[in-house]
Amino acid sequence: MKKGFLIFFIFYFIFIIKVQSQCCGAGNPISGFENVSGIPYKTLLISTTYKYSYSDTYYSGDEKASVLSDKLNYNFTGVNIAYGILPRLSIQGQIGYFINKTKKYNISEWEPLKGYGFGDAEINLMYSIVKNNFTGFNIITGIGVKLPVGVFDKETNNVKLPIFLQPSSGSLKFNVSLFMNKRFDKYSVSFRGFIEFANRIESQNFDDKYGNLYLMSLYGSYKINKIISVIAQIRYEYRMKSSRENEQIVESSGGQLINFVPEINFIPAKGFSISIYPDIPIYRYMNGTQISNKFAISLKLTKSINLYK
Amino acid sequence: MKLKFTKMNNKLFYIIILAGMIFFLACKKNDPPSTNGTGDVKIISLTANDTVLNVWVNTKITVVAEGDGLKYSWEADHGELNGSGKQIEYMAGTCCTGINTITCTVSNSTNIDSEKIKIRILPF
Repeated sequence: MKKGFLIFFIFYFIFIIKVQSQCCGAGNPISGFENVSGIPYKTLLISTTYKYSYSDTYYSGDEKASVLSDKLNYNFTGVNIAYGILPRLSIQGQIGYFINKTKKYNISEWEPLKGYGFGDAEINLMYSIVKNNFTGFNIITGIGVKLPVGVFDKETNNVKLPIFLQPSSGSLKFNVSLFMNKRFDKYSVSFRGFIEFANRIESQNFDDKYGNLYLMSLYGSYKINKIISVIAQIRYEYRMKSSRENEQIVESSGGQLINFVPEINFIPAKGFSISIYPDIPIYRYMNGTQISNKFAISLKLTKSINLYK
Repeated sequence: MKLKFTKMNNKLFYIIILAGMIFFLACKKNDPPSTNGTGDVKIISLTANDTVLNVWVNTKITVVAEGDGLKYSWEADHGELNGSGKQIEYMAGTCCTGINTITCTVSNSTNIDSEKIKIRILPF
């Protein structure tokens, strides 16, 4: 049974990778609650996330493009709150803040441009359709919305920043997700599928629509002892092409990305955990020619509070 | 009676919070006044050194305006602007091929004028 379960996940994941193809997104990075296997009833999880991301290479398809490259980086912080409102239903929320979103140009006379400020707010509802504590098997479905409550149309010296340096994504986004998890004695395997549908941005200045994002992750976690556990994640992202005014397709947008995300998780005290995890791209295919992420590193602190009394 | 009053207070509190959230989410910047060319602010010309460019090639855009105490604001629907004031530089990457619009708004404390210029970015 255990073997069958593992084989099912591995084949499903390989099949999906063959069929599909990613890149970058606007607004907040993907939510920090991506690997939470359900929130226990009346339990409150509060988590803060810090993420640094750096990009300096253009790619055409899956090869490096021979063009002079600019340098992009951002420092992002987010606060996540999740609560188990019913035994099978939980609510999750996130608000994000960009400390900076900076582009340094390869043109010597050009000053670096920097955006900063609040990004998006995200609210998700998660429902456990299968929750079996005896077998350790869970299936959780989710729906969510990302609200562009943050800074958009930001200016520096009365000059509007380009769209990719705006902290907020500027449009409502909806998502659906599926999370499956099977726990064994010292280890567990999980799968996460996530689709984000973007709406058209129609601000004073911009008229664009980001492509939808399809994301699949396969996780394996191993508990070394009561304090330390390690998680290995393979995450596949496929973003469709963007469009601009009059439904014109942006050919150099969207693509595919596979990241390897090793994570180490410490539990220094009861109800408190610290995680650190880099995003290491292992494969990418960019439509047209685009700059792509070189690496990212995240730090997450989580506190869980049981309010069930 | 006291319990009823507390419940009402709670309801009122939630209504205020909800109304505040709706207001916050619905809040939108006001459009700038569209009093083109009126009063003592007027754009005489808005020109670019080149109006057809390859990707990642930059060009200078210059505005000439008349009026006192002028403030110059710039925005591009696609592509990137660098600099400030009467003259600015523009460039677009592969994300932004096609016909892009750069808007220059000149204003002072009482009046405003704006002009647009279109630049074509050729495919990579």
